[in-house]
Amino acid sequence: MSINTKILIAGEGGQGIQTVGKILGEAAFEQGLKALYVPNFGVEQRGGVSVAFVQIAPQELTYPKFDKADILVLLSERSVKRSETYISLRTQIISNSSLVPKNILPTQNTIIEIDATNIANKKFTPQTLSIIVLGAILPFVPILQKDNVKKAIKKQLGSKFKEKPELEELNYKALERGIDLAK
Amino acid sequence: MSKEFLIGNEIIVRACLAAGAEIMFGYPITPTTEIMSYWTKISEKDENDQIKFLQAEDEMAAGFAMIGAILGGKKAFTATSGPGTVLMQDPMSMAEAMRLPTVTFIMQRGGPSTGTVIYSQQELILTSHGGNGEGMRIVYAPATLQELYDLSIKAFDTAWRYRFPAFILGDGYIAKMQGEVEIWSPEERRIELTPAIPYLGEGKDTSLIRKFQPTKSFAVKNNYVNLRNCFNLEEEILRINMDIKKAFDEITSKISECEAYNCEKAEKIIIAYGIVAAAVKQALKETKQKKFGLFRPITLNPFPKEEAREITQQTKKIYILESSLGQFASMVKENLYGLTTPIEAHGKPGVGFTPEEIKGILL
Repeated sequence: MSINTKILIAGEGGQGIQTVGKILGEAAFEQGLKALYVPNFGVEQRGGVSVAFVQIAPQELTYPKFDKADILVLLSERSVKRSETYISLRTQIISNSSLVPKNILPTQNTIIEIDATNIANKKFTPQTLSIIVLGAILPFVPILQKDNVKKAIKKQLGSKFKEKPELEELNYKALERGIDLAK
Repeated sequence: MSKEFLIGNEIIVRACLAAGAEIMFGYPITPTTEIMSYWTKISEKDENDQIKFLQAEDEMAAGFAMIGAILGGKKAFTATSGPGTVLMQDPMSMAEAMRLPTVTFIMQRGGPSTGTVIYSQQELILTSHGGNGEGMRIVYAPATLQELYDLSIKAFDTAWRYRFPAFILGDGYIAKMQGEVEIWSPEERRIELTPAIPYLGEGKDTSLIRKFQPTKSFAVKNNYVNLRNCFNLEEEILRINMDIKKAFDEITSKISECEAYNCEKAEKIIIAYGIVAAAVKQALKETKQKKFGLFRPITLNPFPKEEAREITQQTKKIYILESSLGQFASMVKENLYGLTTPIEAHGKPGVGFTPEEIKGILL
């Protein structure tokens, strides 16, 4: 990878968008790569579209935003309109088919649909949505090693794992499920 | 020394601790609120009760409380943004009048008024010249997370060493973004920071007021020391202003800083500061061409005038990029007065420049 990978994650506040952004950045840092992550938000405390910009590169990065995303993750219907300016013909889209109707997605791009919200609610817990989504991103960022992603998950959710040790295994299973969904 | 992956606001807190800061006064406002929350977490865990915090009723109170703590001999600081920066001008004018070593972190958000909570460069004039005085303040503008850490430590030293209010002028992105930073301590680099000594009260050093404070003081019945900031005569206030200006001019060459990237053989020079300059540098690195150079003031006040004039002397064209409408351009033009090179200014209040966009402007 000679240039940076640009990832944009968009959805509703509360879907764990920023958690995904932080874990991706942290995992890249663990691996000795350079990473920059910045959240983007409006003045509302709740109920706005939440966006996370993540960049991963072998060389130093200085500016946290970009024009076009290499990977765009859409988790809610409203997030499609919010992110449209970041789409180029080369953008790989990962869409949460539980909440995003296919007919509002761009027709020119390669799209992977994952039934993430439903799977999180039925097979795991609603809180694992972000980890399933994180898993679905990983096949498109082959440079990131799964072990470092797990380390970053543990760093991010460690306090929750301390309270409920069974959550750790549940989240790793959710991660695997996300990876399988995207393959 | 350790490499860590931190957000800007936490980097600021770590720098304040490394610089020996003991107390923060503040009032919450996005995007700087996390400076308060990280600081209070450390304060709560501090068994020796050395690290303290007070949330004031507003930014004016936070600023004046900081001044009180500094007069009492503590390294104190505050942080704010946007409308908070407007209110902060009241205590900052007092700090300027008395030449007090304050440290204020301003992370700009979009204005005017409440505006947005994310990003801007619209508080440049306010931070550099916002009070009802002559803007005798030291303003550092970090462009990267590493520089945010390094300059924050430096700001404490500069403020106490030279007795002028110091500011770290960043923006919402640098406050909220997370990336790699090397955390170091002044001890391991054998840097001796200027200590804080009380002006008043227990353990006071009365020479501080005599030596540094142009407004001086007078005693009443030996019990009280009155610090003046109110004068009867126009001539008096003229003298005080000229004294402050003279002291500021004397330190200008010692503290003014800048970066010149790729400027030696460049035909065209881009002038920008903060994160806009960081984006310019990234764009220039990615295009790998030699035609363009970047001149970046690291201190916006005092402005690195000599270096700016020298670098732009031979250039064919100057670009000025800023996330405001001409605040930075007017500062640059004032310092380059007399130069007839064409200037192309790009100002986008509240919005940043991506490296891709910068390539589009230049090429």
